[in-house]
This record gives sequence, C-alpha cells and structure tokens, in this order.
Amino acid sequence: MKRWQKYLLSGAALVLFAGFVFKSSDIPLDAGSFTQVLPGGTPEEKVDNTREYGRNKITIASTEWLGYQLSANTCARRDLGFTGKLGDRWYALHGDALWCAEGISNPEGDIEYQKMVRNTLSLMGDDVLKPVDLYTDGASPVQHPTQFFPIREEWGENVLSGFGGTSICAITDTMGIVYYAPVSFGAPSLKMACQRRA
Amino acid sequence: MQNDFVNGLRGAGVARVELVEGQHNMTVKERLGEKGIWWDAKEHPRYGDISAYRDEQSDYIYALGGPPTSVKDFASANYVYQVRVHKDDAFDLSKYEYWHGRKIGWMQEPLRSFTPESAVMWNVGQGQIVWSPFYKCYFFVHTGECRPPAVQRALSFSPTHPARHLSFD
Repeated sequence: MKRWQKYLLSGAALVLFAGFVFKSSDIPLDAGSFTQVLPGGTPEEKVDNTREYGRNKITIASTEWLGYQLSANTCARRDLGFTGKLGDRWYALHGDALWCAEGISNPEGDIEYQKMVRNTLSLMGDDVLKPVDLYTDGASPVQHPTQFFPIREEWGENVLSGFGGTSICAITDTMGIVYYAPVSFGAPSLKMACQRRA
Repeated sequence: MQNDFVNGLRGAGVARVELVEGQHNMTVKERLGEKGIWWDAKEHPRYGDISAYRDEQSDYIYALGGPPTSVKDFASANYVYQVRVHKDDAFDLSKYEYWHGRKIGWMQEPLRSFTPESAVMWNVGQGQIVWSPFYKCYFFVHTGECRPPAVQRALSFSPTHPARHLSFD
C-alpha cells in the first residue's frame, strides 16, 4: 500500500490537494449522455450522470502520512469518523471504538481488546490525531470512550447493533442534525466483533 | 455479483443534537421517525450514510446514501443518491427534496427510480465534503472499497454536476 493510502480521513483539511473549477454553466445538461454499442453492433443511447466530465486541470500537490487518529484522553482504537462544526468548534462522530484490554494504556501496536461501542463523540483540537472524547467511563488510570447515541432497547437495539452516523450538520450555532443508518446486527458476539475489527 | 453489504440495514434516520449550555459537549435530544427510521431501506436510499454536509454557501443540507436494499446487483448497488433540505426545515421530512437527475432536477416526490441517471456518484466509500474557498469548488474525500479502508481518492464535487477524480502522483 502506498504511503498516501494510509492517510486517515479527518475533518481538518490536512492534505494539500487541488481540484478544478467549473461554473455550473460550463457543464452541458447532456454531459452524462453517451452511446453504447451493444453486442451485434446496435448503438444505444444511455445516460450516466456519475461519469466524469471535462479535463481535470489540477493534480494533487502532495500528501503526507500523519499517523493514526487515537484520542487525547482514552485508550481505544477507532473506526471511520466524520467531523462537523457547531458554533466555533469541530466535533467528530466516530463509528466503532474498541476498548483496549485491561492493563493496556497505549492503543498503538499489537494489542488485545475488551469491549466495543458503536459510536463516540469527540472534540477536535489543535492535534487532529488526538481528539478529546466527550463521553468516557471515567475509569482510572485509563479511560475508555462510551456510546454517544444511547441504545434504544425498545427498538430492538443493543450493543451489537451497527449505527453508521456521519457528519454533524449545523442548524444553529448550538443545534445540529445527524444522519445515520442503523443495522439490525453487527456481529454474533462482542468478542468476534473485536476480533473482526482489530 | 450480488451485494451482500445490505444484510441487516434498516434504513436511514435523523437525530437532533444540541450543545450543552456553557460546555463544548452535546447530547442527543431526539431521534425522529418510526423506531428511529425516516427512510426505510427496503424502499429508499440510506440518505446520509455516505456523507452529510451543511453547505455554507447556500444554507442547504445535503445527505448522500446508497440505494435501497431491493437493489441487488453489485454494480447498481454502488450508485449514490442524494436529498437536500434547507437547514431551517431539516426536521420536517415533508420539506426534503430528492435529486432525480440533471434532466429533472430536485423534486419533493421521493426518488423511486435508481439509475445512473438519478445517481450522483458510483463506487465511492463514506466520506466528507469540504468547500474550498481557494479553488471555489467542493471536494469529497472518501474511502474506497479496499480492505483495510483507507482514504483512496478525493474528487471535486458539485451537488448537481458530474464529479472529477483528482489524480494522485
């Protein structure tokens, strides 16, 4: 795997990259239209609006591997996260978080796990690799992140249920909306879930 | 090849979150819909599952997601569809507009035809949309389908226009 492929998704724009600028009027309405020749030679008109259009005039300037995104105050490994801004601060909503096993205080390296929660909330700061988990178990000497979205058992949810939330979208400076995709089941057991995720 | 990822998916839901007064922390105030679901995965795309974005250029919120679980074949199951809503109406399902493709545009009628024409992207993982004030366009930084997941591509994105994949040297 190339080095740039290890760069983790983060809300802060850490990678210098470039795009292209197209005014909406530059792209014709039929940009997605194309002709496909079927077996036998018959042409068929098709539309695919996901096809790329035009020429990209700018390429990526550079990428830099910064490291794994962990936490400033808990010991866990994380799954994919998304950031969103409320007021003047950025918050990250992560997916699965695997708690490091008892006795482990450093989440890096080859470690064991003891538990998993399905979504966590953290506050982004100057160090994008060390967000501050806002919900923790308060344990000592090592804390672990706890679930942000409470599990609704009356809806059939439990700790094995997948959640799938993405970025917090601001409505006001103090209130936002989160879109999520719940899954009826995530894994047959916590142990298997941790093994699968590690 | 059949898409097995759909197993267990119930749909897409929305929740209202609020900052705790005087703190840089927030709580989940409510989850809307029947058992936390607004868009049932059997009939609707999982809007917001791929990405959700509050556009600072227009006060609209865009939510992107994969097709309903009724779409089985691998190629079709990897198209992405979108909705939008003005931020002030975000908790009113009736105010959402559905993207029906470049020819038809935004409609209040939920999308029922899941085709390359009504889709906005194909074969992208989850990600985040960012506005670049320097280049004056949007970027969608996303993971790919490879395992383990990693940032695979970034592409310039516009809510209603074809995307361009950026080249990595």
